[in-house]
Amino acid sequence: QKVTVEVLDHLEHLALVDFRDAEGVERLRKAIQFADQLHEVNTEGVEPMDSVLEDRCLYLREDDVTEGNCTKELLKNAREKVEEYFVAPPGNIPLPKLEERETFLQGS
Amino acid sequence: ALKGGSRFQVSAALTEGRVAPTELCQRCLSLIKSTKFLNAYITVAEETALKQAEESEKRYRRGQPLGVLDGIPIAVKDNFNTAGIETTCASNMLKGYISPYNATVVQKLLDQGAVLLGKTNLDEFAMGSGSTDGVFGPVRNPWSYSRQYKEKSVPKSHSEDEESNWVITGGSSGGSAAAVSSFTCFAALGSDTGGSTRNPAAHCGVVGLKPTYGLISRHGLIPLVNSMDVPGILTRCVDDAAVVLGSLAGHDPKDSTTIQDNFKPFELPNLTDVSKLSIGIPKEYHAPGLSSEILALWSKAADLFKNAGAKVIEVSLPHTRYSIVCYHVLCTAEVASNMARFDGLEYGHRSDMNKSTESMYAATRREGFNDVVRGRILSGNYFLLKQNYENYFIKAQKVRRLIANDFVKVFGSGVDILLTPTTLSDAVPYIEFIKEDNRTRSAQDDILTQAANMAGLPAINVPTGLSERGLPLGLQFIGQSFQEKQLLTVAKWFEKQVKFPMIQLEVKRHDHGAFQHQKSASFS
Repeated sequence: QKVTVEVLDHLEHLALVDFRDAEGVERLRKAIQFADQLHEVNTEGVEPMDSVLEDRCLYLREDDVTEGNCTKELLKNAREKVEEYFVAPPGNIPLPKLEERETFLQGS
Repeated sequence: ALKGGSRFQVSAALTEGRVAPTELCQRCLSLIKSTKFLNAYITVAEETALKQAEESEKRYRRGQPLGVLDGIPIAVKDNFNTAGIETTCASNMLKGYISPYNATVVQKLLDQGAVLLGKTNLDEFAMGSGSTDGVFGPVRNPWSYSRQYKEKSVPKSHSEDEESNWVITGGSSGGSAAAVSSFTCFAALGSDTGGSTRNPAAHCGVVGLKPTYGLISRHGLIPLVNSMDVPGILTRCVDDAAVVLGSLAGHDPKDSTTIQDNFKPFELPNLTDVSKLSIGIPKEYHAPGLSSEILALWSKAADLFKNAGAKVIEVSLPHTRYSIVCYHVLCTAEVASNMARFDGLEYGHRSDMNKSTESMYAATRREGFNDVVRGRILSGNYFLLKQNYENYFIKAQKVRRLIANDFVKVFGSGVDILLTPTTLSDAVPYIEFIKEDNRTRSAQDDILTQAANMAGLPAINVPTGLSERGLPLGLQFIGQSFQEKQLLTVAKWFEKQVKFPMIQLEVKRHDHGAFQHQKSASFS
């Protein structure tokens, strides 16, 4: 079983989204099972495709300022702000470990 | 003009002064009110729409309309940013979010004088194939209330409410499809990542165009899968789709994935001779679960082309059956990345949790996203884990190339256009649809549409006939990259041959009496 509690916990940390319940975990298991069908395809010598437009160059514009000065507009949608800053809670505090945080995975 | 009139006919009416833009706008707004039970609109921008209509009227009086779209009421799927108007993506994450800017496609329509009636309903963040999984509830297919459907439905018991029989629109652009289908607007914008414009178009009996990837700007379209998303166009006839395409296509400096080739808007010729055409019928699109009705319709369509002198040949796209799996991996991976921007800090929902940045982000996303969205984010992150990256993500990218190459081979062998079904069956009743979960449904329903997204090709749904249950059935044409003119020309010829019936919508209107009265007042 490749979907261990460690992997699930790791995913919750990376995604910052929770599994919520057994159904959530089962959803992942089914998704992996579904994706495993890819291994039936022979891709020997095939290059991965990033974009259907790979034969063209992406457009790069001149590095000139063409718009801006919309601080007020942009701050309108933020809930917590002070002067021209978005306000965030203290950073550099990792998400609590499995045993200490509120997650369905606890006790799995 | 509200009844079945193409936008061309309405434009003529506007230019000749037979109807005023404000009157047209009022009628559409009133119809939106009487069809509220369809739940097609999340936000109706009544005030701004009327203002836009007034401005349009002034221009018509001066004899200076901006173009064919001036004064034409349109609707936009709620995952496009619209300045000053709430954009929710049918999610709690963006409830109350007022866009500070217009998506490029919205701006282009407004610059042409179109009247923006409102934002349409969808599956949350465009994830789904039913338009049933948004926080504002499901969209109802207008055909559920058509005489054609009612005549064919057998009440199961005396106590069965007509209400419980309603069918889904398909998705995820169900609101847009329903809006066009129920005459509340003349054209609507949808988005198409795996079939989200073509699927509801088929179920709602409207034209649904997915343009070539790179033709129309995605700037302002809240992204799902950057390498596959495109804005979609929904209209009541192919000519209208060509006009809308003409106003939207072209390079956008704000979207560097739009090609820089010069795009010239075109008018569709009235094709009469199809003898030089080569139509390909991909055998793998005879997918498991394809209804016998659609199979018969598809066969009839092939014969139509054959009898008209076109070359119709069976072709093979051997990797078709893996495209849905490939899509599943690439889609969830890109979604995992794109949804990372929703952290509550700059916009959207923000949790009250404030112990730390990480816990605030986690709580915000816990509260803001529904199961479907969270599920895809988690799956995507799984496939992107170091230990899985090569085996899943890179593998899927390789399979993607094989799928794209299948199309290159077929088109390279002399085939001009492919003809396939769009959906596996007609629209199912809502109560049946929700018995399966979103991922299963999407996997089933996207099978015929999403390979075109994988390869970036243009594709269009054309309403073709009615099912035994009185519901729309559509067929899909897939064209070559950036050959929209050829694709639409063939689609228009086909549309003319099949003469899809107009919906006989039975709705009581608020201030104009019964809808039937409106028919006599129309002037198309």
